[in-house]
Amino acid sequence: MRVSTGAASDAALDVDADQTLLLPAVKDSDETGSHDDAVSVPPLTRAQLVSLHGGLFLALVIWSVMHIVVVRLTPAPLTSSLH
Amino acid sequence: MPLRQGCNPCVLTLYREVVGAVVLFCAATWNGLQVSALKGPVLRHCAVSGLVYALIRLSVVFALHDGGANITAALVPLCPVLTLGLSLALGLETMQAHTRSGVVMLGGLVLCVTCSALMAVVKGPLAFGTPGTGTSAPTSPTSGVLWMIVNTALSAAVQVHNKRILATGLPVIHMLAAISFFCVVCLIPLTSAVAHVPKMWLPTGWLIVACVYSGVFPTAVNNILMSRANKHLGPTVANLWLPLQPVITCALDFVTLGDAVYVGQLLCGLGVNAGLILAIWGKHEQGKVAA
Repeated sequence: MRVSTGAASDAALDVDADQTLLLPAVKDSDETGSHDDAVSVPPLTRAQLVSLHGGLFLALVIWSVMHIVVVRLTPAPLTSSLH
Repeated sequence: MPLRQGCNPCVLTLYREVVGAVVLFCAATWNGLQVSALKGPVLRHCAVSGLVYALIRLSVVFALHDGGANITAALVPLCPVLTLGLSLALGLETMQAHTRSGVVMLGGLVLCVTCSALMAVVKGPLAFGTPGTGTSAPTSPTSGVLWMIVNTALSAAVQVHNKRILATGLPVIHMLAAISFFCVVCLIPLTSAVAHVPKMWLPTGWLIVACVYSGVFPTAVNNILMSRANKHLGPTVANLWLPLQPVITCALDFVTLGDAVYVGQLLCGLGVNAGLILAIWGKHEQGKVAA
């Protein structure tokens, strides 16, 4: 049971996958055609980690801007004609 | 007052998802998507995720309507907790809770979630700015809470489910294009059941702009960012950032709208940030141990 989503341990995913609860039904990638970013993922560099976390932060900023634009700047937030 | 002009919010959600689906499909096609390659179990799992996304979108609309903005914001932090529990239960993630990094991660998660929830309901004395009039009042708080519990549980489940789809090697953008398609397909009958008057389907003016912005950025771009993080960092870390949203919203409100900032919000915001840093550091250390 050594499947982890930690960056360094993702490479172990394909090695141990048959011992785990992972992918009971969707494991077979042959049925999906060829996909070039395969199961085995190399360890992430610091730059990639920063990029991923920066992306998550950016996502929150985008949601917050939507909150202000759509909700705060309109008096009845998504409620006017519901029900 | 665009949203008072008759267009149903569920319809707006549908329009937003249509815009998002078009953007994602174009991006996936540019990335080499072959629709004929999407078949079998992966396609079925994408369809399930699409249905769940549709329910997530509608449940937050109902939560906002019944519970108001504060209750909605207060319950968003449930999401990373539920995601962690589900990931551990399904074996997608491991955690050594007895180690120092495990304790730090759990402590950070608890701090982050608690402060985020408190931030939505506790204000304290005024720190900066001028008090506003508020944004929305709850019409049925209990119902709002229940809708948000449904929303956060579904959000946790779909991240975990998507992680399993991504583990097949399906590119993020291809998965999201398929999921968006099914999300729109599921939203059409659900929205039709709620908005049965033709007038409710007519967006005007700012609503069109809001739909385009919501479809391109909060739907398409954010789904890509979240799914990339889900693939490489895991569903818990991808959702771990969500408690920071009230903090950012509060800061943007202060900067752009001149809304008041209260001492309680400042302290809770600091707590959220501290908890987030601790949880991510703990998770990072756990990853080293697992490797």
